[in-house]
Amino acid sequence: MKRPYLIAGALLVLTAVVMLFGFRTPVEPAPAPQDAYLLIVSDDTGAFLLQLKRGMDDAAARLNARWSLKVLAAGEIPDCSDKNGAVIYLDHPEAVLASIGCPAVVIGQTVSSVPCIVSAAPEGDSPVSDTDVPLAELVAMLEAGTIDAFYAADPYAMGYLAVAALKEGGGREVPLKLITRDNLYGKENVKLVFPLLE
Amino acid sequence: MPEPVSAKKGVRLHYLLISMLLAAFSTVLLFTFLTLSPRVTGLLSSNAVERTKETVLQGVKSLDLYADGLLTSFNYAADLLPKDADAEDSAWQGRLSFLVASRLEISAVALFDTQGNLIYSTAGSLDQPAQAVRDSAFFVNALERQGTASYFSTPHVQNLFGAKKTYVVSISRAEWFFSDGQYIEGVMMMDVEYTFLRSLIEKITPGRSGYVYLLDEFDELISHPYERAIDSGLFHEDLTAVQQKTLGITEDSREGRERVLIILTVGKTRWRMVGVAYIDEIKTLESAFVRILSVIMLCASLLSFACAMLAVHLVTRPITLVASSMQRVTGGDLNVTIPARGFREIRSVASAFNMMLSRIRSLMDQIVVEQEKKRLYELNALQAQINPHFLYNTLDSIIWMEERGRGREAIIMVSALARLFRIAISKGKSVITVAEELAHVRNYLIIQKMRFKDQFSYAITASDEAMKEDTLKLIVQPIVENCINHAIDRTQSEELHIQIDACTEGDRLFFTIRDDGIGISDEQVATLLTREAGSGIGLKNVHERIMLTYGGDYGLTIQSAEDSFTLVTVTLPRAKGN
Repeated sequence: MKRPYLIAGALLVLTAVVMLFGFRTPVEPAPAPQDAYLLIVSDDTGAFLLQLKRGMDDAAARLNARWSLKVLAAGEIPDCSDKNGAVIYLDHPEAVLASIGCPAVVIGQTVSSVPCIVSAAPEGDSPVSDTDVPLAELVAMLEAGTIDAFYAADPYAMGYLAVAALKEGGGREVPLKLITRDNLYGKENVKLVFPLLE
Repeated sequence: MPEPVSAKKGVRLHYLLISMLLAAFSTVLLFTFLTLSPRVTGLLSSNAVERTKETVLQGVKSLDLYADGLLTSFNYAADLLPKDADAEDSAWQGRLSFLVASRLEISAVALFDTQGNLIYSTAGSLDQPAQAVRDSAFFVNALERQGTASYFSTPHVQNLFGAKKTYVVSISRAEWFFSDGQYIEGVMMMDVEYTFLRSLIEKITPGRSGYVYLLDEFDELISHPYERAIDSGLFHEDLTAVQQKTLGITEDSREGRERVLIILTVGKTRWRMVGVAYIDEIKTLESAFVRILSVIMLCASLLSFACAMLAVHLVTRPITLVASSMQRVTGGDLNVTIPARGFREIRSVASAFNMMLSRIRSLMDQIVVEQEKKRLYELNALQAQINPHFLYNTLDSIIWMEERGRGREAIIMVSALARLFRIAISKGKSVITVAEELAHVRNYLIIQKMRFKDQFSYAITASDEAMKEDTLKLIVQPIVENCINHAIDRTQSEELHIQIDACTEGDRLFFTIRDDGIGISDEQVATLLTREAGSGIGLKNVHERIMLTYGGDYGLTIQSAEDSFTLVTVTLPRAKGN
C-alpha cells in the first residue's frame, strides 16, 4: 500500500485514540480522602468526646482525610491494618499501642513512644491538677461564687490537632483556658464551656 | 543550447504543497485557538464567578427571608405590648407566651424598662442584676437606635434568666408601652435559637471547598464554619480584603490558593454575608474547556495533516509520473508514453507531451531518411566523378597526348584530373567554398575543353563576396556536363558558349549556368528535375540535394528557349552573413 495512504490511515487512527481518551472525564471529580484514621475510645459518651469528634471532623475536612470510631471492649485489640493511623483516647493505652500496627497519637496523657496531645497550663501559671468535677458543675460553682475560676481543657483543639499530628507528625500541647466569671460568657469561650448548647 | 537543469535542485512539489497546506491549516487553527480560547475562558470565568455570586445571593435571600420572618414575629410581639391603661397584663402576656410556644426558633421574649428592670419575660425571672441588662449589647444598641430600627446581636449564651441556657441571637428594639399607669420607653428583646440560623448558612456551599460566613456591622464574626477552630486559635480568617471592599466581589489568597470573596448585605440585619469560593474549583469548567479545545485542536491538526497528505498525493502523483517520464526522455528513451491520468490539466500536458514525442520520433525518422538520401545523392555524385567512362576517356586522351608527344597537354590534363578528384572528395566534406566549387568545374572544363576542342567555350565569373561563400559541392559541374552533353549542336559548327557566374544578392547565393545551345523544349524542362537524365547524375540529383539540405525555397530553376539558350539558376542560402 502506498506510503501516503499508510500515513493518512495512521493519523486517522491516532486522531480516534486522542478523541477517545481526550474527551473522557472533562471535569475532575472531587479528590477522595487520602488517609483513613481510627478513633479508639472505651466509651462513646460525654461532652469531652463530643467536642473531640467535632475537632477531628473539621481537621479531616480541611486535611482531606476521614476517620471512623471504634469503641473498644475490655481486652480487645483493634485492627488497624487498613488504616493510616489511630487516635487513642483511653485511660490505659499501652496495651493497644503495643500491637496497634499503625502510627498512633494518644490524647490526654503523655506516653513516651508516640506523639501525644495533652493539655498544658498557660506559661507562668502553676501546674494544674485534674479534677473529676464535670464542666457544667464547675460553671455552676463559678456562677455561684463557690470558685473564682477554673481551667478548661479544649477537646475540640485536641481532636483537631490529633488528626494534624497523624498527617504531619509531632505531638502538641493545647493550653488550658482560664475561665472566670468575666469571660465565662465570652464569645471565645462559650462553645468551650457550653458544648451542648449548639 | 540552454544548459540542462539538475533534477536534484529545487524543493519537491510534494513537500512544498504539504508545507503550504499545513501552514494554512496551522494558521487557521492557531488563530481560532488564540481568539476563541481567551474569550470563552473569560466568559466561563466570569460566568463561574456569577454563578458563585448567584449561590451566595440565594443564601442572602434565604437569610433575608428568615430575618424578615423573625422581624414579622418581633413586630407582632411589639404590637401585643400594652398601649393604653385598659390593657390587661394577663392578656398581652398570654399572647406573647403563645407566640413563643408557637415558634420553635423563638426561645424567649422579654420587656425591660430603660433602667434594665424586667417588666415581663416568657423565660421567667431575671437571674442577673439590672446592671447586667444595661451592659448587654442588645440593650445598649436598641436604645441607641431609638426605635427606628431593630438590632440583631451576635450569637451568645443567654444567661439573664434562670431558665435553661440557650445559644441565641437576640433581636431588640426600643418600644413605648403602658406600664404601671404610665406610658414609658423600654426595650423589647426576642431571643432566636442560633441553630436555625446556622443550619440555613451551612446549606450555602459555593464550590466544593467554599463556604460562607457572616459578619455584623462591626466586622465581628457572627457565624463561620470554622468558628470553633477560630476560637481555639487553630484557624484564622483574614478579613483584610473584606474590610477594604465592604461590598461586591474581591479576591485574596490563602495557603497558596486564590479565592473569590463575594460580599453581600443581609437587609435589615445589617449583617454581611461573605461567600468564599476557591478559584481553582469554580473554574474547573474553564480548565475543562481549555483541555477540550486543546484536544480538538490536536485532532484537527492530525486530520488536517492526513487530508493534506492524501490531497497532495492525489495532486502530485500524476505530475510525478509526467516528470519521471520526461526524465526518461532526457535520458534518451523517446519511446516513452506518459499515462494520461489525473486532473484535466495533467491529462492535457501528458497528451501534448505524447504528441510532441510522437512528432519528434517522426521528425527524427524523416531526418534519418533525408540524411540517407543526401548521402546517397552525394555518393552518386562522387560516383559520377569516378565514372569509368569519363575516367577512361580522360586517361585515354592523356595517353593519346603522350603518344603524340603532347606531353605538356597531358600534364595539364593529368593535373586537372587530379585537382578535379581532390575537390570532389574534399576530405569527405559536403560543403566547400564557392571558390573550390568553381575550381572544380574549371578543372572539369579544362579536361573537356581538351577533348572537345572548339566545340565549346566557357567563362567563369564570380564576385568577391560569392567566392567566400559556402556551397554544397558538385552542383555546378553536373549542370555544365549536361550543357556539354546536350546543348552542343553537332549538326552545326557553331561553338557553344557556356557562361558560369556566381553572385550574391541579399541573403542568397546564385550560380547561373547559361549556354547558347539548342535549348530545351518546355515539355522537357518540366520533367528535367524529376527524372534521371541520360547517364549522368543529372539535374534532379543536384536539385534534390539542395532541397534536402536547405529546404524547398532553394534549388534549381531552368529557363530555356529552343535554338536560343538555356539558363540554369542554382539558388542557395548564404552561409556567411547577409
